[in-house]
Amino acid sequence: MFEFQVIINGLLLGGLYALMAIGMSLIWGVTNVINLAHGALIMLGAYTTFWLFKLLNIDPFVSLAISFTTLFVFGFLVQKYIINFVIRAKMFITLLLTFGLDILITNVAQTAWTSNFRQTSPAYSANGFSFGFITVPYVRLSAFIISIILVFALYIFLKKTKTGQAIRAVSQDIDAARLMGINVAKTFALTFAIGSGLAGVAGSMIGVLMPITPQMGGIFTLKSFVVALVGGLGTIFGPLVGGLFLGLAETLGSFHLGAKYADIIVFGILVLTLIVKPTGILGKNDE
Amino acid sequence: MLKIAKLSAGYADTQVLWDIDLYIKKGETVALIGSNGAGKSTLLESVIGLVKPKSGSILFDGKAVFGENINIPTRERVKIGMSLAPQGRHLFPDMTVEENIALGAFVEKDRLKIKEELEKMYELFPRVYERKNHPAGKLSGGEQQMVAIARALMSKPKLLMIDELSLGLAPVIVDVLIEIIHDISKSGTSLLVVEQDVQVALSVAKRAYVLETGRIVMEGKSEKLLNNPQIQSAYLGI
Repeated sequence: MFEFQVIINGLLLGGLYALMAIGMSLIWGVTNVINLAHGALIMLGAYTTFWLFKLLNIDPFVSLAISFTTLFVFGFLVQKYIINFVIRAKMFITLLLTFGLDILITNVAQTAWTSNFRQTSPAYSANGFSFGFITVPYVRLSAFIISIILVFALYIFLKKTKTGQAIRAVSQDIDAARLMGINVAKTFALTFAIGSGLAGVAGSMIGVLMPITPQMGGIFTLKSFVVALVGGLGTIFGPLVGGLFLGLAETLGSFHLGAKYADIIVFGILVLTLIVKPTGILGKNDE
Repeated sequence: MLKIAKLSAGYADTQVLWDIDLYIKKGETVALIGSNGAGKSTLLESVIGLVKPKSGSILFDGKAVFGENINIPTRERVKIGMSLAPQGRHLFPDMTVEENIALGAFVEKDRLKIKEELEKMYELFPRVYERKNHPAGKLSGGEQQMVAIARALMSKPKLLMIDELSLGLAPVIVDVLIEIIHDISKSGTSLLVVEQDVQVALSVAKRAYVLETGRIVMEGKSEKLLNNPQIQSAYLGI
């Protein structure tokens, strides 16, 4: 019976992982930039929701939209005025740049907000519902549902809208995209903005689930990286599949083997994926 | 329609094109002949703006698109009526045939007009219609070329440029494509066709330029070029 609860916990954690990784995967797949500042963006999202709750008493689920918009604008500007200058450079350069951005954002946040742990704790944050032996916390379930909704919304956006088509075109062939009359620089900036906005939403949810500090980003960058790769880069549903898979593996693994094995399992899966199917679970096998 | 004067272009330290002069009249189909590495693709890419020339000028439909202190981006050139079906097709491999073709009308905002144009393309290329829901990456070379041309036509260009029309394609397909080029030409579109196969080039175009190591070495009416001994020995193996 415990097993069942563990599986539910795993799926819920997986939903959160998926939410974290969608943005990173999108940016990586389209612009070929591995954004090492992704965790820092998640942190900014978490603080946005925290301050809105603390100062203005705005419910975290209401502030999701504000968090998305704030990070959307932030991501757009960062791409347009910083990353855009090295977008055609070697991956090493973009890695260095986003690593630097991560340090910068983290330290500015630390100076502004101190490194104290904080948590967004609305009255319902500890509530949940049970059936039989199983308990489902509301906030985790909401994060899970929001994550799924966002994945499908992103899918429809990329498939059906003009901007979405442009993003897909640019990700598949930049020169051909230019020939279609697509503004590649603007498309890159928009992609970065959307990816950052999604990171913001993930951060808002995380801030309700666990304590936050300005240094929290690092582990989320790593986990998002693993989820994106394992799920399959450049695929729309990759982060969802990868997130659920890793969430389950981590929860089941630490339940049976002990919590200290959680990271070993996650990164072990990464190594195995890179050996067995480098394109990830949903990735195509043509390379 | 198009007037190129004293155009020089290249990549980093290597100069590829030297003092190119070329013009295309309204409604005219012109071929550009030359062997591998002569600079044909670089010339087309300069015209559409994927490559930034070093000097010279490009005038399109009375408007300077490149010149001293002028270099308007590719998307603006597409908007005023230029279009290129590039070498190697450059289709979006993971999108369906229909998505590929529809993207050709990216600069058009009106969805109905895009749909109309799409129907026209299916009439022009019935084979493509049968394949409309396939991923473009899975098509044969000939079908890919048809999709590439259809996609390039979607923006209703005044000047359509096709890079390597027949390269790597079966003769039957090439004949179909030649027919289609004639149809496009009849509808009033000007064409610049890059072609290594001189027979094909001169059967679609009334006038041609010969490009050798970055310079135009010959220019004239197709039939005249076909009878030129130099052309015959260099390109036709006669």
